[in-house]
Amino acid sequence: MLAVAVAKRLGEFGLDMSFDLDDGTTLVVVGESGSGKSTLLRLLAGLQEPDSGTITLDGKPYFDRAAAAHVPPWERSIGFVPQDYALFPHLTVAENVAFGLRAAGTGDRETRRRVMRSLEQLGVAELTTAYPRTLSGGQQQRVALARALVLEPHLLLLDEPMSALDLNTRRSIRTELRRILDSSPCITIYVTHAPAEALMLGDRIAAIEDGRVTQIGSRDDFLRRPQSQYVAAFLGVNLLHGRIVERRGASSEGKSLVRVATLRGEIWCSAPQDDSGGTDVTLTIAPDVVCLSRERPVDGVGVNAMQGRVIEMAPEPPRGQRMLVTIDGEPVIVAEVEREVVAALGLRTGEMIWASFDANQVQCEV
Amino acid sequence: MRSFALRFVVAIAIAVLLVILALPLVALLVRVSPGALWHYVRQPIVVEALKLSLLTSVIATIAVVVLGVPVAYLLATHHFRGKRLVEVLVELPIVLPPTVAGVGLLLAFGRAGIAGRILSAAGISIPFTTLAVVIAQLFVATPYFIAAVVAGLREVEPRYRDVAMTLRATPLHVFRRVLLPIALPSVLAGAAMSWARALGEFGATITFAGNLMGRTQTMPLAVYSALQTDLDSAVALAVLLILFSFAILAGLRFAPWGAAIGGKERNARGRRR
Repeated sequence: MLAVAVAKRLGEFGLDMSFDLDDGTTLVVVGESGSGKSTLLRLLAGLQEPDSGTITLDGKPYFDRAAAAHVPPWERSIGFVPQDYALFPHLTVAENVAFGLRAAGTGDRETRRRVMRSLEQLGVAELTTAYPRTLSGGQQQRVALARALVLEPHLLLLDEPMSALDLNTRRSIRTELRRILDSSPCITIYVTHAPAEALMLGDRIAAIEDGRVTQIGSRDDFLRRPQSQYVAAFLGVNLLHGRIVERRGASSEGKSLVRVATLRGEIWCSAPQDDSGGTDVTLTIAPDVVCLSRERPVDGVGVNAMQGRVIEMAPEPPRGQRMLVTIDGEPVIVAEVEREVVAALGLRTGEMIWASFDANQVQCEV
Repeated sequence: MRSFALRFVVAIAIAVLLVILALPLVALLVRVSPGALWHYVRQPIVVEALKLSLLTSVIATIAVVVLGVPVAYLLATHHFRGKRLVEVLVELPIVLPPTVAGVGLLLAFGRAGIAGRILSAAGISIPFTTLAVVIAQLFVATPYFIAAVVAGLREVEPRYRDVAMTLRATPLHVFRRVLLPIALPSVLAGAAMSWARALGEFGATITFAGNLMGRTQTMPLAVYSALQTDLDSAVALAVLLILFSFAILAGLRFAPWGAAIGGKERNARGRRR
């Protein structure tokens, strides 16, 4: 188990976080660049020292300001894979993987056995005598993982391990990485800013904003109850906070139609029957349920419509067949529509447009 | 019009520099025939000077490497109070007139010098010995080595050090197995530059070690001595020194690791892979 409660000041920037992780968990840390993700990894690795707090792994205090304890990186049971892998350029693949075992004073025969096993596990055994500069990005990543995992660390730190790979490699390696992480018993902390990686690899997800953990929880927590505009935007959903102002009878599945006052006007949605009397709700609207039209949609119970200026249009995924259209307002509304729709509407940025969606397509959480 | 003026200025500068830098070399080289060179090379004064020069400069270079590597490591990787001052002190011998260095060495290690008094009480006298030649060479050659190695170590990206430390490697292990091997081209280049500088050392040697044939008379000193009596043997010695220096510099440029000294761009490209 890993228990972290640390604070660190770096000039203007302040980091202050605490969280616990159970054995075998993969925590995916998401956040914008400069939010403190990499600093967190460096603190855990012992490459930087926190100003205050404690870091404890499996009951062993790695850092404790009060007890003046700071275990140096080379005595921590960690594995660290930096952003562009940092394979030692003067060593072959096998020598890179053997580096940690040699430094720890492991015998030659044992070292060779473990290096081979590790390279085989990661499917790069044929690269033993190659030098890093001759490897592809994906191969480098596997070797870097082998170099870290061969030491059987209790905590594995991965700093945006996909960012140096091209899109296709990323997609094919994600599943593979999931398998590798599942098969190693260590706690993994995985830093990224790709939503797909977060949702696919994270048993738990933590959002970091400006040096603080703003949300930590399961995949479902994040999709159903994003707790900040950043998280919602990161996951690609629209997020609105509001207050129930009207309830209209019960529908079939224990839900009732409610009218919610939000910053973007009143929105109809179906909410679970709730006896607690709570009226503050969080609405999430997936971008692909939002329709666009030039004319105001026909009014009616259960139809939500709002007008706004188009401020951005971008293909999603990059060079894909769908477009993400961002509509101005507080907060902005994002619609994901087919390219043909945009073409048929003759839509350009700066123009006014109507966005609409059905009440039963709004996720409502009390 | 402006481009014509610019070309004119550049052409003049090149011509003047060629005359000053290249003409003396040409003058020396055309003065002796290979046969005459071979004749003079076998003169005792030349043989003795050549042997002494090789011996002292190799010992001095080994000492520079052994003593310089730890200092370069400290300067390249650590921050401490007074670091700037240490850097200036280490660089000083590059700009100091060698005779000044010689006088300083004399005042430090001479019979009445600060350290010399203690040494002579122990029965050791350094000035005017072969050891003095080595010390003089060490004094003038060290800065070239340290400058090259500090630059080389700073070029090694910190991420290698970081990741090595997370792989159970203590700072000493990181230095021996990661920093030094990656910076090896700079270390070799620095050592070669130091060797060349030690080989050519004159002012500090003649001041601190004197000009005794077979004991302290290195090649440059022999050239100077020969000049007093026999111009031709001086020229032969000088040509020999030129060939030596040329071989060292050419080795630096054309060796596999030679780019470290002249071609930072090649290193940079190598890193980006």
